[in-house]
Amino acid sequence: MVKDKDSKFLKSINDLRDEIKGSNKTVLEANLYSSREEFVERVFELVMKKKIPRRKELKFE
Amino acid sequence: MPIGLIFMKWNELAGNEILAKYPEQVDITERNLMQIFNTHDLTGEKGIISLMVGTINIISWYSGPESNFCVILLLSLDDDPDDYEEALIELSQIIFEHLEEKAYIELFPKLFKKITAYPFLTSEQKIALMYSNKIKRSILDRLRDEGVILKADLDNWLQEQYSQDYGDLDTILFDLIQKGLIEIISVKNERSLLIFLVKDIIMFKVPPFNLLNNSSESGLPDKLHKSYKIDIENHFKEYVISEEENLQITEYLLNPDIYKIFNFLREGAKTKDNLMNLKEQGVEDFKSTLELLKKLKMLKTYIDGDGTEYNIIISDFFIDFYLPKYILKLLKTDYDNNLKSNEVLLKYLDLLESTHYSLKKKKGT
Repeated sequence: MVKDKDSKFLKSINDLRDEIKGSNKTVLEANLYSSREEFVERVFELVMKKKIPRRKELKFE
Repeated sequence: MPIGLIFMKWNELAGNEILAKYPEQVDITERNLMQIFNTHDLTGEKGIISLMVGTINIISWYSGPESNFCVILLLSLDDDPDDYEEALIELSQIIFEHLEEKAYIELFPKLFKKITAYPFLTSEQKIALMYSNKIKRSILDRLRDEGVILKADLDNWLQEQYSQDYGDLDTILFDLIQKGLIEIISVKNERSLLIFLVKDIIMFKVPPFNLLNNSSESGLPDKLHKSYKIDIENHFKEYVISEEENLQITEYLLNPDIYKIFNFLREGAKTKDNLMNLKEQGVEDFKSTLELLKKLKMLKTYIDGDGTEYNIIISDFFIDFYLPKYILKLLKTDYDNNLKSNEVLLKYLDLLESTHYSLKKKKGT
């Protein structure tokens, strides 16, 4: 799972901007969400605040 | 409270022709109609105006000089026209979608009821209302796939999907702009304006966190509360976010009776007697709502040893706007494959960055 830190998102924007402008920098694919579905899942996990791990055999604390 | 709703068209031969109104007895003079139309006409473009005509408080939407339609909402003197602006845009679009065979006439009572309730909708209901519009949903879906599209291409595509008169694109887009979901910008060397997705609507079921921790919060007896927690845990272990289910839930959020009952249930477990009390608030039939919520696995009934039935939600609903961070991947692919110009890509990156900061500012972080 990609870490959804603001700094990582902003860094990806900057890297991609630099790449488009012709610098040697390349945005790291690993820092990007592969799809909208993955992003929605991530938001879901954040909202859930990990209170109820899904599809795993874990119990409430 | 609004007094009436009028749909009229101006033409040179007949002047102002009222095409529909509700309630039937609502009255407005030809002179007043002319004042409204002239005020629109002076602007020379489609849009909304609010004005006082004599002692009448009015907000009116105009389709522009090509078609000359006006949708006029007559308000009480103490109503604030701004409270109805978004709803009037939404409603005007629905009327436009039903011009054929004057299908809008039948809709008028329902539309009037809807606009009257609008200022009292909660923020989740307002998002749900926007999302319930199939054309806006189609636009969002396309933008989710492509990020940015030419306005001219979108217009052609919508005409193919929904026939020539699917509605007025500017009116539809205006609401999406007002909600901060899109930005429309001119970019060098592009043959039409470009529409950028800058926020997305995210929704899913969530556990009723406020009821989970203990029985005093849920209102369930201790021994039932244990089963309650297990049921929620099991539901969310298997839960898969579904667009179809989301649409069903947003539809329920917009039904005043269902929403009233659902909000009541959000407070905690309710017995039949508790629910009967809703009759005082005009809710006659709570049983069918309980069944609907059960079908969506959002509600469960637990029975105590003495036979008391407790109805409680096992799932709540979340709906909000988010920055579409997933678009970055799309932009990277577009860049690698030369699918969009560098100007468009750079503009989009700027927009995502500025939206990010404005969202952070709003949240105060």
